[in-house]
Amino acid sequence: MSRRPPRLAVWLLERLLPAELRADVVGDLVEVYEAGNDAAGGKRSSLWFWAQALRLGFAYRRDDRRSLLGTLLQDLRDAVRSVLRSPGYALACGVILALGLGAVATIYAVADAVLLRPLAYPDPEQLVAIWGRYDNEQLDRLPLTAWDVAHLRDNAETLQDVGALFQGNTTITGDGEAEEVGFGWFTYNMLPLMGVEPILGRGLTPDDARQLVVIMEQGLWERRFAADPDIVGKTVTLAQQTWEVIGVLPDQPRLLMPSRSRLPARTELWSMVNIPDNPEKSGAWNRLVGRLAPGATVEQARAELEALAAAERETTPQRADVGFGYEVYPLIDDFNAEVAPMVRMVLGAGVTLLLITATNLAGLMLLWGERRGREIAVRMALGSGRARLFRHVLLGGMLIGLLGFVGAIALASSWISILPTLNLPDLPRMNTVALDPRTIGVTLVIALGCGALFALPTALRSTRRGVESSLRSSTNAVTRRLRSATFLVAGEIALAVILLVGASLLVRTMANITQVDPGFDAGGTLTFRTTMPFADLFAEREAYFQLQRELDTALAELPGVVGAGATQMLPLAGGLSTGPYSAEIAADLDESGAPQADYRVASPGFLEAIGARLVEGRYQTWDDPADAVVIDSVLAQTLWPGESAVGKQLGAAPLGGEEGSQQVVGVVQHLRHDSLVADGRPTVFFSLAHTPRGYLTMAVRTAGDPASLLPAVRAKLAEVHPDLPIGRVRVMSDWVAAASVEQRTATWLLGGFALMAVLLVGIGLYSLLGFEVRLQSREMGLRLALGAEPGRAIRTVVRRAALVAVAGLALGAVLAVPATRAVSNLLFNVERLDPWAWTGMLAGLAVLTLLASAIPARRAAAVDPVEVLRTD
Amino acid sequence: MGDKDNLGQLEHLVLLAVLHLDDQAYAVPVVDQIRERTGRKVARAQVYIALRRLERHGVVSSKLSEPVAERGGRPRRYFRVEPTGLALLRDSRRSIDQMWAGLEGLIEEQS
Repeated sequence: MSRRPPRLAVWLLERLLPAELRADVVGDLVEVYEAGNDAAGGKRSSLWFWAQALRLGFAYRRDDRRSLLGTLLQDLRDAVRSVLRSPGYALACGVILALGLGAVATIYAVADAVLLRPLAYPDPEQLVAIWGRYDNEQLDRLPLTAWDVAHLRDNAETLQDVGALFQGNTTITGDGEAEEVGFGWFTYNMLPLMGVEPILGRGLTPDDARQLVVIMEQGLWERRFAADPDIVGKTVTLAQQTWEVIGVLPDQPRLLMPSRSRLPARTELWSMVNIPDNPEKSGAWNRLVGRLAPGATVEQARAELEALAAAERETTPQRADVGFGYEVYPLIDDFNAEVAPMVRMVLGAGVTLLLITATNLAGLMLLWGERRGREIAVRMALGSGRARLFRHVLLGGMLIGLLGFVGAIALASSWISILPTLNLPDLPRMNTVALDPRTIGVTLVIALGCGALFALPTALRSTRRGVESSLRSSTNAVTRRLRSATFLVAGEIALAVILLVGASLLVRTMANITQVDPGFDAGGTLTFRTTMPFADLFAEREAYFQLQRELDTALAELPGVVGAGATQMLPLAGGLSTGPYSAEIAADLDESGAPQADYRVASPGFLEAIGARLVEGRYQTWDDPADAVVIDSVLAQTLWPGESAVGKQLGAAPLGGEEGSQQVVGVVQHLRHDSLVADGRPTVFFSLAHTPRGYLTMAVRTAGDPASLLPAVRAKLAEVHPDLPIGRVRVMSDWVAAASVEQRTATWLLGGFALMAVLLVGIGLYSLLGFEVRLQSREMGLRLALGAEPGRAIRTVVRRAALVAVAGLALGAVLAVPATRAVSNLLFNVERLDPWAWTGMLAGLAVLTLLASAIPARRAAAVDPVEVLRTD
Repeated sequence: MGDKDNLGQLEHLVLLAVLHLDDQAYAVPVVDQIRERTGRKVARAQVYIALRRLERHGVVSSKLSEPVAERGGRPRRYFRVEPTGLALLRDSRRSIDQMWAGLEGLIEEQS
């Protein structure tokens, strides 16, 4: 009696087997099992069936896995082989992809670190910057008063806390060389508000008000105190006073300052400022940071603060006059306010470059696909499966993508490593730029995606169309493909036009900026910061003047030095100090609406040391009365047009001094203080005798190389007083160069992109023409055989190149007109439609077109008719 | 099938068994044939996998029979050696013969 095979084993075997083999293999096993039972009473046990079923089932499973892996490996081997068969092509594609992607990865890494990544504080989206606004004077992002801090803390319900800080400088002496460091004050709630915890010691409490206690940043602690673990409780000497160190703040997250602050980028010592019980609405120097209440949005905070400001305008006439308002920005936007437009412009240029790269690659792969079409058709004729061939072409594309990816990452990491040496504008968080795994991942995906995507048309077409038609390589199909490639190259040219126009406009801007006369001769002047070593300048005024005079005189007597002097703010080195002026003796100067001038304080030797140009009168001297001022030509012409200003009475209120009238002793040519690209305000140079200043910038002028003066200057300073620090040493021409750093950086970056775009377009155009020439070599050979001139072949190729270029140019011009808006805020004395810039771009493209067509044209002319006829 | 152009020993045996069985060549008798003729206990699963790979490479082809009642209504898969298979067998035989040439005496003397 035959027994049935174990049902469960049958079921399991059926699951393990590939569907198409299920019936017959199970049938075989059942047959053997039953036969074994029948024959001569022999018994096949269920155990036997189970064992056989499992063995068979798993053997098939193993085989499936092995063959899948084998096929993949085989496909990969095939793809590598076919890529290696045209190494020049693979290399060209890889290089194109590497250049384009490398540039984009670098830019993305920078944009990510500077703009996109959230700030490193807890719940950073809750942090906002709060500024003042004077609508009637069109001023924004103004510092606020201590009163505003207290007012907003008490009354704004959308804000859970508001803190304030402001910055200055101080000098550390003792424990080594005298050094100028950034010194700031913040309200005691700043640290918990930002979520920054000291790594040593403690933060500040309300009890610390008016105590000489400081928190220092990790950088200073490591640099000057060798990371002394027992620093807390020790004392430091700051501006001749003894302060107790109570804590150390971490390097990250740092208490960053908005980029708008033109104060030192790093503040390394912090103390506490108390908000008094009845603060006044004057002394607006506080930068406010708030934390939104849970659930509150920036818009809600804006609305609430707008209402509070409206109430303010009702009750406070001064605030009504200026059109006072509050501004609320997410803190990250505030950090990025200045750099965002430029980073965005560069990001846009990067995306354009990526598009050019992609278009270029697409065109190249399309043409390559045409050449591979035959190889694929042959393989199909030999019986290779369609799916397999499809995979094969796609894998080839991805392999090229991989090649490009490796190159791109290598380029990007080397570019990022040289970023710090490039003297870029002071971007916040620039020190955190890195190729993080996300950037690398995105680059890989784009690279492989581009490779696969651009291989797709070839893969689809080659495997779809019939074998015979492919082998015949129908002229129609080739023409169609050629047309697509032509469109791609024209598109590339169009995109390149955008970058070229932008770059040309910026190059023109740089040329214009270089020609700007700042109003002084920067060459030959060395500048450095120093601090007068007095705890109370006003109390020790006499000693202070004596020391300043000694210092100026000692420096001026150095060999080769033609002048030396001090100021509170160098031109083009940042800082803002303005006040009202009038031609009358100042009675009503305080009235708002009075015209504003730049107020500068200078010692007698300063203007000469900086290379200012005297128009009339003379410079101040040490023996002048305190009210002797020098004004600039703009102010002189505004107040006394057509007259001599010397001897006139100027109404102006110097900082910290009494209001009243000043005696004009001289007029200098207007100096550009804020920027090379803006005319700036008129300027009054007050005597240092009038307003003592502790933190000064010295200028020392020499006939020779200013940098070589430094050792002698250093020695002289130490000789005059042991506690005089030297900081921020720079030659004046560096300050001038730094004033246009944004334009220069943008010019270099966009110029680099444009150059790369030109290179890519050149490659694209060259390969298109080369391919065409190869296709038409038969026709050209025949013509040459029939007596046509070679010159005609050359003309045909060049004409074709010109046609593609003109088409791309037309499209590009249409796109470029709106796109130039992205650089418009960087331009100086150049219109967006500047004829020179556009002509330069045109000339560049014409040269490019000629260059790209030169080799294909020569090849066309050199086609050997005999060779052509032989292969026919 | 180790290499594309060479037959493994088991594949060699399987192909010969299919040829011997002519139009009755399905997996069950193929296994029996090899076992009977060589006296070797080849694993059933190995033979199945060998047949599958030979078919994958176009060395043999197969087709299913009508359902067979005693197999629970399941069909049989009959195999046939393709011209490629015959060529491979010929090659294999030739290689072996060529390697054997001149060695017959030596081996027999020793055994």
